[in-house]
Amino acid sequence: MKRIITLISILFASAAVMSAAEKGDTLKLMTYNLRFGELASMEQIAEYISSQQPDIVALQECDWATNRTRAPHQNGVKFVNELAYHTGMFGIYGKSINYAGGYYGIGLLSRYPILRYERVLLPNDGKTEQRSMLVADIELPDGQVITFVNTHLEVKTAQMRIEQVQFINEYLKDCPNQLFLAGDMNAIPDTEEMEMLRQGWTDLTDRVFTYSTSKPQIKIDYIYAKPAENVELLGTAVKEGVMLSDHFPVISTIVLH
Amino acid sequence: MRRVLEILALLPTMFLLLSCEGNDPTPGPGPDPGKEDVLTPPEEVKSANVFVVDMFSTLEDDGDFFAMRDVASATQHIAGQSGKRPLIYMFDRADFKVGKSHPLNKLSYTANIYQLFAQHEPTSADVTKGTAMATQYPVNLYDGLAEDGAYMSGLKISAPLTTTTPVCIYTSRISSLDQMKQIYDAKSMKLLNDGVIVALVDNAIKAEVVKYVEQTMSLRAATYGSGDTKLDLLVVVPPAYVCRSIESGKTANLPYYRVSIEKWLWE
Repeated sequence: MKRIITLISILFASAAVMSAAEKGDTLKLMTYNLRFGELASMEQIAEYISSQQPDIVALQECDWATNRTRAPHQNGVKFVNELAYHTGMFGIYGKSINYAGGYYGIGLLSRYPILRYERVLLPNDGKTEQRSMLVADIELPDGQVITFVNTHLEVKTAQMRIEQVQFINEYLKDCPNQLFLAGDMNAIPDTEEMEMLRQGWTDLTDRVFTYSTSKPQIKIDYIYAKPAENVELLGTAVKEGVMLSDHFPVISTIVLH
Repeated sequence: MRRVLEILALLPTMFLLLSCEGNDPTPGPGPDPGKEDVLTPPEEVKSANVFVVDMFSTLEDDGDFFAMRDVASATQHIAGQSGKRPLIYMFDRADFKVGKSHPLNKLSYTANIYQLFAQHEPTSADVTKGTAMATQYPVNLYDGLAEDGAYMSGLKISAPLTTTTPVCIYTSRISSLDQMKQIYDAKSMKLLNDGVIVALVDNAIKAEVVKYVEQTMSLRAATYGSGDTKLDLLVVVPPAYVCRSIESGKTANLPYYRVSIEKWLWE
């Protein structure tokens, strides 16, 4: 009897997904802070990403040909190149700072070609690390162009994060496309800066802790959409148990109407 | 008398205003065709102000460039460059199939080079035709256009000339004059300033595209093609730049065209 109920539940869930998918593009969005590859090789991370079959992946803490003492196995590695190669996705990179003979920044993988992108430096007071965002326009197979933004906000001061959130909102205010914003915001949900983001943006994630993998205590990784009217959230999950970084990957599946 | 004095008093101000107009950084409509001699580049080439783009192509619309060719040869070509290395390597075509690893990914992985894909057509659920672009320079801006069938993409790079010079190098596949018109409508300011196009154009419409580029867009155009191939290479540069040469070459079984462009006019 239990097996029959499970089967019926699966059938209903599948029918719901198929029904939603028929109405528009189903997109699987992921955000993943890689902790400069300290805990895993790019092959391992790519294998995990491929297993999830995402459409777009926002990556933070990506190195470009650095020589870090804390991650010697990644010396000289251009993370995005390797991940693109192993996943078969398009990869783009945004440098935030020069670091250890190379660059440190953020990256993005996409199943679909990237029409245009820009690496934009976020406000910085000169005392904290320079942060950036990648703003990418991606044309989907139905012809709709979406703008996907990946960022990694300031870690030390809330005031700086507030300024960065204000800047992001101002920068994107005239964007004509469906917007998604994903990344490591370095802020828990009940903070002023995340409150600011929720005004206008709809959170496509839940409140499950994303950091750290060894001792999960806070949620700091998010995926947002704006406007929300055209976006139907099919499901979201923090992939607990994936120990390739100090963050868990977060995946949200949506239908874009 | 008082009115005359007022006008005389206003004259210096008017003169100043007119002078300022001349310094307006916003580009005007481009060079006057009747004053082309003012913008004729000198014959002498200053090699320090020349940058190079390698376009790999058969100049035929015969499918994916790497379908019958080894990516390793392209890797060797890139690794073997010395002296003035190309700012960008282009590979046409480099068709992309959703969910399948693109040869371009292998190239960037093995040659340790940054790669981007310039689509020629709307994203398909199956195969999307395009040109691969690879560079060893960091790219903070990848500009693109997708309007009514006209596609063009370009990398903004700081070219190491006498002075480090930002230049946006675009590529496209031009198969109708309307496409060129859409490109100009969307990117005219860019193309008059620091936008360079290295594209492939259908042989049959080459002449009218070149005429449009030179007369309507007030830009410089250069082409390369034997007339026996379906496509010709088309190079479009702003007035301050000039295409000095297009030379054909071959690495293993990979045919390519080396485009040398000089920035000759400095503010």
